[in-house]
Amino acid sequence: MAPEFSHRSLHSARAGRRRLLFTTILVIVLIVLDALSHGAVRGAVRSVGADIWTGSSDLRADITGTGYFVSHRTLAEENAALRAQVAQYQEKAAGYDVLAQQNAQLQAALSFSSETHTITAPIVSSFTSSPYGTFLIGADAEDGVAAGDLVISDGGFVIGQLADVQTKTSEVRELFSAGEHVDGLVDGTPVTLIGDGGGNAHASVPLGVHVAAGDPIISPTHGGRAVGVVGHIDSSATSPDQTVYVQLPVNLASLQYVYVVYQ
Amino acid sequence: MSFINSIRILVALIGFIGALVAPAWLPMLCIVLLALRFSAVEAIALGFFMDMLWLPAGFPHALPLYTMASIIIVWGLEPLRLEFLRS
Repeated sequence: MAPEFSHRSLHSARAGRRRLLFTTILVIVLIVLDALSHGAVRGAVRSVGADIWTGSSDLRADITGTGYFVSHRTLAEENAALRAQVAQYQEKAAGYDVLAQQNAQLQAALSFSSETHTITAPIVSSFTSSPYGTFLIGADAEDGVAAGDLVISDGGFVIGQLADVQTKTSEVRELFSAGEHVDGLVDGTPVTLIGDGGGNAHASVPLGVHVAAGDPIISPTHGGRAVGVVGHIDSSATSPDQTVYVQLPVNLASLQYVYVVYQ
Repeated sequence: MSFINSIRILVALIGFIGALVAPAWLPMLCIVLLALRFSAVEAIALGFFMDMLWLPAGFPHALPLYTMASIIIVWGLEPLRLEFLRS
């Protein structure tokens, strides 16, 4: 009798399963080692990832610049430029409100030192690739940064906090990454903002609180800095609360540098 | 090199490059595609690579979801591969 057609013999199936088992055990061991060594494996992988990201900037530009992508690229560039411009205007407009509020707060808090130490750090990874709402910056412990330091934009909005400091790179966890809880003040009323990812968050605010689109949200737990602006408000006569949707008025994809504020 | 192996290498390559530059769903799609057809060690490696790149500090509070998902998908699809691809 002729043998049946086979893509994979029993022998190769067993060998494949052995390789799979070995890889599974190896990966589990590496994760445990990484946890025990406070991120030694992660640090090495991120360093390589940052080098590839930085080193491939010309290649990425060339690929998007080929004729095949030209129409998409032009539109995408125009779109990105306009978005960046709108975000810049929004950030500046919100910045005025923030400055007015901060001015009042600073006058009331003259006893505190107003001196802040910041450094500028380049962004060395994509903003869209992380499933955990994280990105990498090119600063490490030698630059004086530490876990918990605030990462802010040009306009002074808090983007995130340093979650992990490794050799050559540090990981930033976005403030509004999915599921994150952030304390904020809306019209002087304390609220809890729940991150939705991509620089967006929402919060439940009592109906009596006056809130309008464009209002800045200040976070007392992040040095009294602005963390976003109100984008949209959903209210219903049958509900005692209104849902306020907050956005970070910063186009994350267009950012090349951020500021790290030493805590 | 056979055509099917070339596809396997191509998908894995797209997954690893995608982990650095593309949205997070692309590497996951590559993991699923690889696991559907092969006992793909590279699918587990890709999940591990994603977590080492992007997982926030604080394990075990921050779970390595991509590694866990890739292990579950690759091993979970093993009976299916044996059933439909061996004979």
